[in-house]
Amino acid sequence: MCSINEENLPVDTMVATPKLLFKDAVCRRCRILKAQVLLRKTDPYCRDCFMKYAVHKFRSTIGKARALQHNDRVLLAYSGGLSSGSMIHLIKQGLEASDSNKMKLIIKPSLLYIDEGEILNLSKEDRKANADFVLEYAKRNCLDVYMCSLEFSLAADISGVKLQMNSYEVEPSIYASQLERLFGSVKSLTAKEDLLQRLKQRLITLLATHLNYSKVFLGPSATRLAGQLLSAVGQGRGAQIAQEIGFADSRTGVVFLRPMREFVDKEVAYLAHFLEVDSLSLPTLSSKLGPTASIGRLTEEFVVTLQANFPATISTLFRTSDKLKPNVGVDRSSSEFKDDSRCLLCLSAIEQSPLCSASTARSISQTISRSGPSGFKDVESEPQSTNVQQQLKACDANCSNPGKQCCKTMDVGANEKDWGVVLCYGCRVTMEDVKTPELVPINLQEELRLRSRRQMMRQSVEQFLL
Amino acid sequence: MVVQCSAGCGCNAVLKRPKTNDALCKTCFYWAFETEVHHTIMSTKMFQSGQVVAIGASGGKDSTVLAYILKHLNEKYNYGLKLVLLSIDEGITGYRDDSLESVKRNQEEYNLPLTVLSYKDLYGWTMDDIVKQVGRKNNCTFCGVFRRQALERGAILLNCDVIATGHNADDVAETILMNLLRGDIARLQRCTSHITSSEGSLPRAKPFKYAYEKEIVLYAYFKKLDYFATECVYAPDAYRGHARALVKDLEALRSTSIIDIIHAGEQLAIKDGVKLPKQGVCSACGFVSSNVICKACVLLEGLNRGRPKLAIGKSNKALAEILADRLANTASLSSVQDQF
Ligand code: SF4
Ligand SMILES: [Zn+2]
Ligand SMILES: [Zn+2]
Ligand SMILES: [Zn+2]
Repeated sequence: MCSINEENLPVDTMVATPKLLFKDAVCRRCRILKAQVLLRKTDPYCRDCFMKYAVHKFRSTIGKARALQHNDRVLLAYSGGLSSGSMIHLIKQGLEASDSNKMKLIIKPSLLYIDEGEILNLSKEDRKANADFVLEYAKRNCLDVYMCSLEFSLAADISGVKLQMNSYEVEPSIYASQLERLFGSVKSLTAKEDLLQRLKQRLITLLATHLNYSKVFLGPSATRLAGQLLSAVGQGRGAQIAQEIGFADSRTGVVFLRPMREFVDKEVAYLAHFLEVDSLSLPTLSSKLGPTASIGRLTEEFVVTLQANFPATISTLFRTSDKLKPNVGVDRSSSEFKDDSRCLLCLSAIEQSPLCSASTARSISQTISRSGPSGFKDVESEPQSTNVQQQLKACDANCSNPGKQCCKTMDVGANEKDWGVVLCYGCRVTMEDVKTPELVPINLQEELRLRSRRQMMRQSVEQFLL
Repeated sequence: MVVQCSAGCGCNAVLKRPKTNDALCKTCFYWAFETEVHHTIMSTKMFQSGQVVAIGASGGKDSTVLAYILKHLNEKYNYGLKLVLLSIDEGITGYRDDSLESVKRNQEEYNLPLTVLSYKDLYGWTMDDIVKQVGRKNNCTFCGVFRRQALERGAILLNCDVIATGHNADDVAETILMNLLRGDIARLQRCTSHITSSEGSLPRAKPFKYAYEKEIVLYAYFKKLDYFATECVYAPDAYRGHARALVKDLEALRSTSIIDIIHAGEQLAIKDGVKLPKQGVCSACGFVSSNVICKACVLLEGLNRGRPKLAIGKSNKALAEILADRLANTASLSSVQDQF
């Protein structure tokens, strides 16, 4: 049958809108000045009205979440790009506003720059030049800047990290070659990009904690985030969408905030233009590769193309994702071992995989096609139930405990199943592509042993726990 | 070069499994594919012994393989089900008429009773007529909405307990993306369930929820199952084309992507306090609807008035109100008559 039915039909927002003829259009807001900006294909603005609109949007994004308190110490992650550059300009404006202005921001910010040059194969000179640009930018804006290189994300703790302030030298370290080896061993660009994101998150958390900052502003635009949303879905990170795309992400203990999340790239470009923000043109892992080089690249292209035709695309994606709940996982907050339910790599709650789920189906497929019917002796030796009810009952009794009895036939291959104790689904998918997991700065094997043992202990004393 | 079957049976492999990239022999592939579908059915308690199951049959690959495999598993594992084929004739020349031939062949080969219902009989319109009215842009809106209800009506007619459709993992992944993109949070959550049942309507089961389209094709190919492979002459809308292409591109990058998307979909939880449309029944036709008047009735009203665009545009609410009013009037009229 044609698979189209009422469940998956397109709606009004999926109809392409024709573009407004921009020439000589008047600002829709003041209705006086000539428009200089065209948003969503149909809304013309003059420069002043656009800036008012943008500043208001920025402040309301921060304000409505009530995430900031007076005199909060905030790290502003600066990449050298347009979006984070505009973010810093808007914050500066807020800081410098007169006391009576209700748009005034009262926070204590510093910049943070992470040099990713090592894995992007940049020369030492290029890395130094980029860092100089950032230093110059910080100086012009009278802000301190902390600088650190990505390879230190592999350090076990802060004592191994070389953190520099208001100056930067690229120096050799053991971690640099380790990082190169690690990334060289990753099979897919998709996994590399995901790993990069996790490592950056880890490093920023280490630094912010050490420097006593409880909040970090990140600068990705709405367009970026919408791409990341679909990319997260494509990599099985559904439970994490609220944290990865939402305004606030507090998985690591440090709160990451995304104040640029309501600006699409086009708005960022106008903003940067009017605010005279200059930027570095930074390469990424997939820079020189085609639009289908990785899942992240693919979904970003997808969003950009769709947005150009259907201007409601990004806002609709956000509207959907803002209704999603951050996954909290099993509530073990009262337990001795509450961290046992968190992923070692991304610190999200590890999803449960009930017997009837994609995650079980995935491992079953792998086991089944690697061990074949002969590896499934138990299937035949199990008394074949004569009717569905009976089989269902057998199944029912063990559903809470997959891996036993009637469903042990469907048991999962040793490796990936075990990782389920320490990694979330998404990180498991990524780690499947990493050939040198021992280089990832998490105690995979040891934690695995510890957690499995604790799990067994818990099971054996469960009946005595209140 | 000869490759050994990765399941270790000692045979030579003849195919690379699209889902896992493992090389398998024919026997082991059949076994793997069937075992997985069986597991989906068992672990979700999809069916109960003694039930009558309507298989939505279109003559295409998914439903052909579904009919074959349900019959096979039903016998092998003693599900105790009564299977019937239910086919909907949309009235699309050059597509449905040919595929119906293929359904009829299935009926004979698998020895399952077949019932065919047509849009013409149910709604008074064939898809060909509808396309003449609405053009090539919104054809799938009419077709998709009518299909859902037509299956329901047919299954009730046949005294079935559950409807099984051939929706595969690719379809589910596409639907998740579509619902994210169109902002339909309620359907987003519903579309990943293995079996959807809402008050007042028959449960719908998707035994192929975790089965890859490519594997269904491989299975049909090696089993020499006869199916109809032509695409509908009225191509789906452009937007769906994008979503479909995205799923295919993702799969090409990483073969597990499709199942990863479904996992992501299954894990989406709606925030407390977000209002979801309540499911009720349409006051005109009595089938499930989240509005007073269901979408099918609104669309039909638009067609019958010669104003189909009204029914799909923003004014569809107005149309629904008119319909509801008219119903209320006839109702009060009849209650007035009752008094005399
Ligand atoms: S493609 Fe559209 S018109 Fe053709 S059968 Fe499917 S829903 Fe109907
Ligand atoms: Zn203006
Ligand atoms: Zn994780
Ligand atoms: Zn084999």
